Amino acid sequence: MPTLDIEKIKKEVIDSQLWRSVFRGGVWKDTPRDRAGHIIGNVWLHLHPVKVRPRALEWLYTWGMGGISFALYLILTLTGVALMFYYRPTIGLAYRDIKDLEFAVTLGMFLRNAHRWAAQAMVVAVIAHMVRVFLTGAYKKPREFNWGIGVLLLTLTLFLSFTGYLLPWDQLAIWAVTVGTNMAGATPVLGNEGPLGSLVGMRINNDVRFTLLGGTMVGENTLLRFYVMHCVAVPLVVGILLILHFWRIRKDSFSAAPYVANEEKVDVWPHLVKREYIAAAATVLFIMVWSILQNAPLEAIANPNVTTNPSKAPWYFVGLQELLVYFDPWIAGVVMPGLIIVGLIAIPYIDTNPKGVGYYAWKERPFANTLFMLGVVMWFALIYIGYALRGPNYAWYWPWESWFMVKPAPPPTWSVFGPKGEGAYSMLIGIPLMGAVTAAWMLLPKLIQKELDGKKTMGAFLGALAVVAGIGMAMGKMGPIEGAFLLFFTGASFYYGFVLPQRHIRTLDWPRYLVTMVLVVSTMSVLLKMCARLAFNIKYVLTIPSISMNF
Amino acid sequence: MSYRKAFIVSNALVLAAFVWAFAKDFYAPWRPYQAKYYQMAADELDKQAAAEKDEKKSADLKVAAKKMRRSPMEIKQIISVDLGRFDRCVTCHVGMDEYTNTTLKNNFTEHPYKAHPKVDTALIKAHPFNKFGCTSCHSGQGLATTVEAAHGWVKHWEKPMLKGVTIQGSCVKCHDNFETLKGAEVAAQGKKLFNKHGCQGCHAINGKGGVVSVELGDIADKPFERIAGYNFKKVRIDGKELPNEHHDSHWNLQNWIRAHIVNDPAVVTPNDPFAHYNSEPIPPSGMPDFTKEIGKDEAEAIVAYLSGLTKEEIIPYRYHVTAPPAKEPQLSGAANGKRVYEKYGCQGCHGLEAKQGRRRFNAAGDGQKEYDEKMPEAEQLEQMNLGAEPTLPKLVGTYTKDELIHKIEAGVPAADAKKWSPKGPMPMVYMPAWKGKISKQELEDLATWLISIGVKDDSGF
Amino acid sequence: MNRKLTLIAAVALLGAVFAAPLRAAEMTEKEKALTNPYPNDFGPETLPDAVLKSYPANVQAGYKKLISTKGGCAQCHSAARPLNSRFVEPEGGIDDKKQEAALAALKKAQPELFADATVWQIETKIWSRYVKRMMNKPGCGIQKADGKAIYEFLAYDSIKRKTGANAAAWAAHRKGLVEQLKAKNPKRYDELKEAKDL
Repeated sequence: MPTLDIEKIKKEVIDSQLWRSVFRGGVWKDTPRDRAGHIIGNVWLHLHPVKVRPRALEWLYTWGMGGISFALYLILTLTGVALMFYYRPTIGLAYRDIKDLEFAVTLGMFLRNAHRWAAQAMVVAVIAHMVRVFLTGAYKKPREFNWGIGVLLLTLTLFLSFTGYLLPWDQLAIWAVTVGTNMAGATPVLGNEGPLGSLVGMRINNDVRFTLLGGTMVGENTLLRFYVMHCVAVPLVVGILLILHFWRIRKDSFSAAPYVANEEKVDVWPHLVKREYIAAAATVLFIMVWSILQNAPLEAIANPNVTTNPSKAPWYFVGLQELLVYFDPWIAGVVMPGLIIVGLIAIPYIDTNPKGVGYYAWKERPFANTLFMLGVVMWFALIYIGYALRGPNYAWYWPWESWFMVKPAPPPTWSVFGPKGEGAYSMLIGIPLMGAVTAAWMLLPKLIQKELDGKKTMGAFLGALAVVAGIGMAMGKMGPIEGAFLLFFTGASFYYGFVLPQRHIRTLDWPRYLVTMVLVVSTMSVLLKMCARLAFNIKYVLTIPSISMNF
Repeated sequence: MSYRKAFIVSNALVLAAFVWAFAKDFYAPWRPYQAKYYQMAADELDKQAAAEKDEKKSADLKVAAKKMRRSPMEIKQIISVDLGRFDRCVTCHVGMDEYTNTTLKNNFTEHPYKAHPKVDTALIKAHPFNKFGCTSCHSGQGLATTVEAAHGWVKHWEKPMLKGVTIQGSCVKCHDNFETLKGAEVAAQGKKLFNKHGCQGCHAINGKGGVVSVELGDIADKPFERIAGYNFKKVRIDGKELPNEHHDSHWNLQNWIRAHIVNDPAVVTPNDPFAHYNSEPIPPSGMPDFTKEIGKDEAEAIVAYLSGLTKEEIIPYRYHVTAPPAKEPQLSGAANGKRVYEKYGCQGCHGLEAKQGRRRFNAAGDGQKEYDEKMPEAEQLEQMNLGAEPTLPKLVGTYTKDELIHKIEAGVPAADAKKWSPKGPMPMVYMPAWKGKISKQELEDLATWLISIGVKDDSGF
Repeated sequence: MNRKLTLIAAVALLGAVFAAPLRAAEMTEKEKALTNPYPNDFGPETLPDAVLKSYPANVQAGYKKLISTKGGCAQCHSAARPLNSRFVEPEGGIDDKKQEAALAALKKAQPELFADATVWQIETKIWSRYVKRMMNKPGCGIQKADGKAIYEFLAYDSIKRKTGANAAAWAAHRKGLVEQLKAKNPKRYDELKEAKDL
């Protein structure tokens, strides 16, 4: 028998017309030319540059989260399409189809699990990606626009997850979406329950919430609408934005890692591509194992007449639901998320610090890093509270307390400034006072020219607070726990909201300074309101019921 | 690890994970049951073939046996479009699948292999499986294909399989004539017991009965979300607490109804009589304690009856069996009066045959100590539990007939109760106004009977 | 720890704020009666001493028992209710025949007493029945001997105060009570009038 010459067979196959028509490269030799050819000649890979800086490859630099997010998005698309073969978005069939997937379809449960866990993982991955990009300053010039696109992608990821949440049509779904969409009803002007909404003729059957739901309640129309948004409309927009996002990354030299003189670039094939593959494989493996080991939840079929107690939004929105304890829906559900999104997009435009692009710069970017991480921590802290520490009737339940335990009714709340009978003090004092305090807070850090000594200022402030708390305790108006709350939250607000801006951004130009201070003060208002509510049972600092504006 | 190694390892692991997922799905719980059934049925056929004298018949049996042994493994389901049932029970219970087991009979004795009992009876013949499915009678989660999920005793499935005699509740759903229906005797007994012990005195069914407590005409539809968990923790069935795990939950409506009869409702639903959690004291459930009066079997009968009272399940026209209303016996005088007493459920508060009034929490009662503010809470609860409705035989002698009729017509509002503890909760139970609900003649006869059971008065004046 | 105390204090505060039903328990029996009253409830809760002194000893003992809040009628309802009641039991004690004879005699002597049922309801054994009915209410606890004494007071008092020479004064008093009910609680007045229980 003649010996098989593998190389010859290979060459003949590769040189054949069949092969050449599909793969144009010819026999592949591991040379720089062929490695480049691999990247340039392949439509999927040619988004990559041919060579890349070795700094850009480090796992501990990039975390790989952008790629992992995209890998998860692909997993979601594939599993999503597969699920679409079995799922019908009408209230008579949706729940049953999920049950069918669970019990009758081969690998149906696995498919459903993979889709759900990949969705949860993608939300986490996308947030982690955003944190990484922030901490490496990779949003600064010239990458501001791409960062904005990224923020939009984050919002759309959350919206995809939210619309998908409704599709199983169980109790979990219907009430979570009811909580989320009721926030839309509180939109100022456009929502029928928001401030000024009724003045422009917004009713329950024509406002922005009605548009979202296709009705006045979460029902048949909502299901179809959310299905179309989830499977078609939003993925299309996400696709368009992803194309833009990747294009910008490529055009902005692929990585923000700073140039080092005489740095030797390395070939993308295989060095970057192999890393991407491993990350994708690890992601797929993680999702697969998770999907085998844990089943996605499914409660009883949706029943609009029976509200679950407690009813909670999906975990990534439950932080906003927790904010509802402290703020009216129009603030907690509309203004705050709006400020977060707009604020995130604004970051590259208000951050003029040239340091820290392409590397982790803890000391060189004290203000940016501190305040951003404070926001991230607060976001997740609120999520944790809303998820784990709120039980039936949204009462406070420690993790070790059974939700079957009965809790006494909460103590009555009071408002500080408001019309007679509603507020402890008159609205006529309250409105100018709140305005003055806010204005002073916004302007003072820049107006104080000399840099304050952080330690001394904090020491003085906390000392003064301690005295106030002491007097309060002596007068019997509060106990030590309330005093501790006061010191912690007000102290934190003062430090992050006054001292840090004063020390670091007083040199900014006025427009940037004011925008930054708006965001900072809004963030601090959350901390202060939490303290007011949890420790002192203050419902509103200022209430103006006639125009439904309560702060 | 080099990237090349990582590449190979990760690919291998992904492949392994896929195989694992597929295996987990392939080795579904229902497969072994179905496989075993085919083997058992094929063995039976082979045995028959061996015992068969006729050559041709034996050969046929052997062929049938071979075919049975090689039957494909598949999910089998019965779809009843009219009733909206998609029941996959026959995936495991192959003996009940008419395509595999054409006679619907076999010699197997164990579940899930054994055939459906009583297939030759009129009952089963009137309810062919292909028309009714399985869950229309048995309840449970027909869509499921794992044991616990299909039987429905799991969290988030509100209609688990009806155990034992309670299945007769399903007869009540479609058969208005269940009281005289052969096969629905337990449900019929349940209704009789419901009326015998006076339940309808407080619980109206479709408008017939008292208004003191909830209407039970659609009790089988009660959403489980509306039952408080901290009350369910107090339920004891057969002396044991009920499990509430994800895959093994006995916290369902069936057991909740059962708990009202086999437990003391005031223990299961203690509410807040000392206002620890509310601004006002809230009395425990006003329902009397029937545990000594109703035995275990009787309780099951009542549960069976109540399990069939649903309005949500829409029974199609051709499946609904109507019946004329039961004729009331034609009695008169005191005998009729006794019937009226039982018809409207007076014994729910005033006791069987009016012998002794039932519990009325925190009302005045015989044998109570005098209220003392410093009494410990436990003792106060004990005393409040001694509150009682009036015992009629002692009372009726003090009324003239007209006064009695007038009293029944007017009722007694709750606020008129003398509370044992003035600080305690208002007694929940009161006498409804029966004017317009009990006819004049019935009231006349009722008064006659009540006066006839009056105890001779020995007060000396 | 302080949080718990604050919470308890707040709940207690809540309880005090919502104390109306609790306060109802501390309402006097008369105030309670006036939420769903009979005309009797608007009258005085005691007999004037002058009238009482003229009664025999056993009847006075019965009166004391009646107004007692421990082991007497006033433990469940205001004493005004029996004292201003329209019921009159003819003389004769436990002997039915004697009572019927007394009733016939009264009909002949003062026929006007049988004209207005809201002022006089004269029946044999009416107080006997009512006292026994009250005694058989759950938790009453009045002993048989005390019940007899109360009955004897009510029977004696009803003849003495509401018939004979005092009939006119009684009629005026009773009519006044009915007018009070009509003015203060017209809905209840209509209810009772329809039920012939004024």
